[in-house]
Amino acid sequence: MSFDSPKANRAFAEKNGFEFPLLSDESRELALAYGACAQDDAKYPARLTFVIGPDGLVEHSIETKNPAGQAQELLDLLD
Amino acid sequence: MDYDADGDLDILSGSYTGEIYLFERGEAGEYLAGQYLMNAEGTPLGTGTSVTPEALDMDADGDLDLVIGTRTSGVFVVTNEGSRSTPSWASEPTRLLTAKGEKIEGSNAHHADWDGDGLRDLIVGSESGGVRWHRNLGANNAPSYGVAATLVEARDYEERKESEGPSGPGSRTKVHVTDWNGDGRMDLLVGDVQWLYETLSPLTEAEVARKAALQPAHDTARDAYWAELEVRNSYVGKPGGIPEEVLARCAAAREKLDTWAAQMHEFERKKSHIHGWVWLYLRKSQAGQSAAGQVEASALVRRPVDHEEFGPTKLELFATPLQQDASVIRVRARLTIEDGWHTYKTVPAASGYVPMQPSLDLPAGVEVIRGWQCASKGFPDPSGEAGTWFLDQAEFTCELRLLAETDEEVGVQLEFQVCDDKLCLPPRTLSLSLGRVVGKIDSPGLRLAKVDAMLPRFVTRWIPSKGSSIMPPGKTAPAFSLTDDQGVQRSSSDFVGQRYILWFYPKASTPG
Repeated sequence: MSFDSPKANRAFAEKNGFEFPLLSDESRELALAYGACAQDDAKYPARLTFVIGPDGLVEHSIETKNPAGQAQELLDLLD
Repeated sequence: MDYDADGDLDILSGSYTGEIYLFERGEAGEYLAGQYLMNAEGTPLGTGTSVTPEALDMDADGDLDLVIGTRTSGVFVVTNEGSRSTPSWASEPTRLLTAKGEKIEGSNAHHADWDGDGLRDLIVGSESGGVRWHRNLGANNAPSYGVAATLVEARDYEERKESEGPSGPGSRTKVHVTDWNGDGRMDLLVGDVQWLYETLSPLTEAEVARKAALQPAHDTARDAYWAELEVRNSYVGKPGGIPEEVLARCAAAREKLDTWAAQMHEFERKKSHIHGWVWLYLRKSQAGQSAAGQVEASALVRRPVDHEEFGPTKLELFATPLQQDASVIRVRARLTIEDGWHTYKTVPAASGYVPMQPSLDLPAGVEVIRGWQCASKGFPDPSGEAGTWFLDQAEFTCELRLLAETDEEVGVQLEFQVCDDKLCLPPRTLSLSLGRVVGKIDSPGLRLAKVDAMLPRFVTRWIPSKGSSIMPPGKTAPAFSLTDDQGVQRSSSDFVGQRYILWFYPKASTPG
């Protein structure tokens, strides 16, 4: 999820071989709803990760401090 | 500020052209006519354009020096070679550099203790917008500036309409640090300049016709001026310079063009207005919470781990784990000395005075990785003896590595002698403690027992007063329908009954 265009996200995904979809929130609407930015003209969203449960409620709300180690931490959390 | 220590408040003002004005108070409290500040050679102080002065004692000699920010030339200090009540300004301004020798830039330069460590840091505005700061790595009487770190991002230029208003601070920022809301935390005031546009109603048919009628005459005048300009420029750099009559012809052509241009300007439909706003950035009150996408500054508000007083002196001990490696502790011993007293940095041979000397009492399990260093300036003994004095404060730093838990405390001693101009107190050794080295709960790391007591009383992030809040657990996840990188529409409804992850990242094709 970022403010990039679908095209920029496609390049990013192809370069890194991501197997998950990258969504474009160009209007900042979702980032505003999640508190990942404060204004609709924000340049970038904050590095945040949300885990949403099957019931549609936010399960975890994580501020990423260490992007490189986050994936493992997240897996540990979800085990 | 009180320029001449006569008990009333005068005004020092910068100017666009670069001179610094003094407006002194008269007998009845009125302001007298402004006058330029002159240097020792009798010429106005000059460092650059769009200058902003701050009066501050930069070399601990008891008078006020000037710290001057400029539009793009850098930050300068003009040393006061006179006294507090009768300033006399050095002929040559001194450029301020970082400890690494890089030029410090600032459209204004303001000193304040930004990180609460007792040292005045340097906070600077910028011609292109935003706010940065340089941490003071030295001492108050001998500052040494770290590299610039951003407090408020410079924003890209954006053409906005008058009706839309500003979306954030503009350029040519001027910054001031103050506790605006009285919560004990330092806040930022940021002044700016920016232009907003207004579109006037479209030209009427009559106006369009009048514009079209004027256009040929305007264009002829413009071409004539350009032709004269070309002739004028052809003389540049040639012996004899530009002939008077060529200059006169060029000026006359310009005047003619200006008359037509002024008439044509009436038809311009886009009108710009210049504005200056003051923006308030409040320091956020609670650690641990954060707002998104905003300014970030790590600002430790440090309290001493241990302290002791002796006569006119106070010794404080600070300890901070290094961010990169928490087992490395930077220790700072600071002796504050009352006015009129001094301690010795160096002593004349065979004088019997005792120089200031820190030492460590380390149990097994702690090693020194960088020995004591002194960041404070020594002033020559005014009586002409060979020694040097510490005035106001003296600071020593060292770095320790924690290797294992200890049963005994990590001790720091400071031996010194404090004197005034009549007597010396007996030499004294003060002993302070950093506490034992203990293990960390839930992790293999080590820490100093007393250091955690002071950490972390700190702020991690800064936000404009508007603020925002991150969606907490337990709330209903906001619905979405967005396009993915393959052009496929993805909605939250696709994931009903499933667990999914939403990851916000700053920008595609950047690490992390």
